[in-house]
Amino acid sequence: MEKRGQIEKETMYWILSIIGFLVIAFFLYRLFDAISYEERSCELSVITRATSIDAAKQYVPLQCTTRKICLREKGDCSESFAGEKKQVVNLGSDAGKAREIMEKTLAEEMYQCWKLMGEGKRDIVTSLSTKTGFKEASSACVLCARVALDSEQAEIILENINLSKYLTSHQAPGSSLTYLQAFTDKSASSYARVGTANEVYREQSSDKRPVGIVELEGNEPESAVLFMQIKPPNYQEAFGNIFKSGGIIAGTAYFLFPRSVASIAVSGASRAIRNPVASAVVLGGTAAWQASIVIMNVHAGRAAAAGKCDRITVPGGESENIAGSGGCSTVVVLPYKANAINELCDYIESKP
Amino acid sequence: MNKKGNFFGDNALGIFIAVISLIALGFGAAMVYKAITAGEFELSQKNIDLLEKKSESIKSGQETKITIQEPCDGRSEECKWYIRAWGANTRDKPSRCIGSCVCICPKDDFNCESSERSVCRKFNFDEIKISSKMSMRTAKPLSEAPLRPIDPTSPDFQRIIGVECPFVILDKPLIELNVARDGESLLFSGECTECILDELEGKLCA
Repeated sequence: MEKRGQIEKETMYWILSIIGFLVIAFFLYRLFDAISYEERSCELSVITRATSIDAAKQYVPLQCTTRKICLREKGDCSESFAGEKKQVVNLGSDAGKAREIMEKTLAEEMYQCWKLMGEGKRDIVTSLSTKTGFKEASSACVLCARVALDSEQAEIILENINLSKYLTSHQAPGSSLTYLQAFTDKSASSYARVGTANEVYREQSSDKRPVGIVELEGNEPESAVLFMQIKPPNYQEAFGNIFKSGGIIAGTAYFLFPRSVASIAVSGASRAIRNPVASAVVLGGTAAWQASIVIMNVHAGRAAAAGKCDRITVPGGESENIAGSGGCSTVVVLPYKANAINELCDYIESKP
Repeated sequence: MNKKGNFFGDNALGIFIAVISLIALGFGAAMVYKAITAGEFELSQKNIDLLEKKSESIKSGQETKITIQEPCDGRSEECKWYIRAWGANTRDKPSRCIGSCVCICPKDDFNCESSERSVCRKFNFDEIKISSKMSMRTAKPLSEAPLRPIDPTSPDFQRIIGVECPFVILDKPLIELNVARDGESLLFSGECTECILDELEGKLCA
């Protein structure tokens, strides 16, 4: 009877294992079938990093590769992508249609980039050392796509391109919202744009501003679709994170080696009682020194964030994060020029 | 014998799960190791591919710009890479460089000798040169000048001169290089910053 029960139990385990295997296989099949392998591995790496513990975040590399798109009339974008694997889009000879195709391509690439990076909701840059203020915050970028234009009418196309209008008037794929609303919120009706101050204010017709995205247009035949994120902590968060991390380390150490930790604590406390003044001086001095490092790093990180985020957002908006230099996440279209990109990014995490 | 047969029979599910788990664990560990160690090296290889393809695509008398990405991805503060190049007849090149050669090397292998840390590629040109220009503040007449930055408010400060270094330092997220071809000669040129003098103690910039 007992043996029969054992056999039934084992059979049940087998059935459950096979069902589990099939469910996982189906999930993986759908996962890899839906979008290309490269995009999926990028998204998975973003999720993995965003959900990793802070101490491990910097060791999780992003598996994102820059997509190369050639918009061509006759050429093959050899000037931009010599020997590189690229996707080719034919523009035809009509400059108006070519402009529309370019606007559509850039908008789709921005949208895809924004979605892949978690729509600015995932923190993919902040390591434990940054969160605790022991390292200055820096801006990380993912170069999602490079879009090159190879056409005899390139000048006319680039002069007439109006990406901001396209984003406000066209729906994002698979959504009832316009691109702009999908990037920001439903109330956004205007588009922050890097340019002169007048241009920025003129374009800002709504109180609610788009906080996630901005466009920087240039008359360059090659553009980069870039995701940028910088998230410096404030002073309260930095010190809070230090205490939290210290508590976790101490708790883990006590859990693993209770006797050693207890004896260290007791001997430390007894020394402090024996020499209270010296202990207070040493402890106070160390704490003040460390605190000054944290304060300097937090200040520098917030100043850096203000510099990067203010370039791409409109003053007077609702986001306390940006106004208070708490950082920002954004998708931008920039000319593919080292100077333009280096101004915004401290480092690039994607593969070329 | 019978006992042994029973052991495998009774624990078939456990053994199956253990084997699958071990394979998954090994695969996961290999992927993590590959991801961590290969990043910078892989990026350097991609950069050298790009340099090679772009160089081959230009004709004699032409020049073009190449934008390459810094191999460091911000995870390591010590990370710094250089592009170096040697012509076919140049002396003092890495032993593994046969003919004309372009290398991308990390700071800890500045001479590009290690095939595990640096990436080198033979280019089909007779002569290859690489240089980057920088401004340098100098205190004394040029012959006595210390090759390091000096505070412009210092009484020793006299003038700013241009210095050329036989390498390009990859110290920004994107680096723009100019490539010019003249017959079977190739010249890569870029820009660099003053800080390089501190790091290399001026030895290579004289």
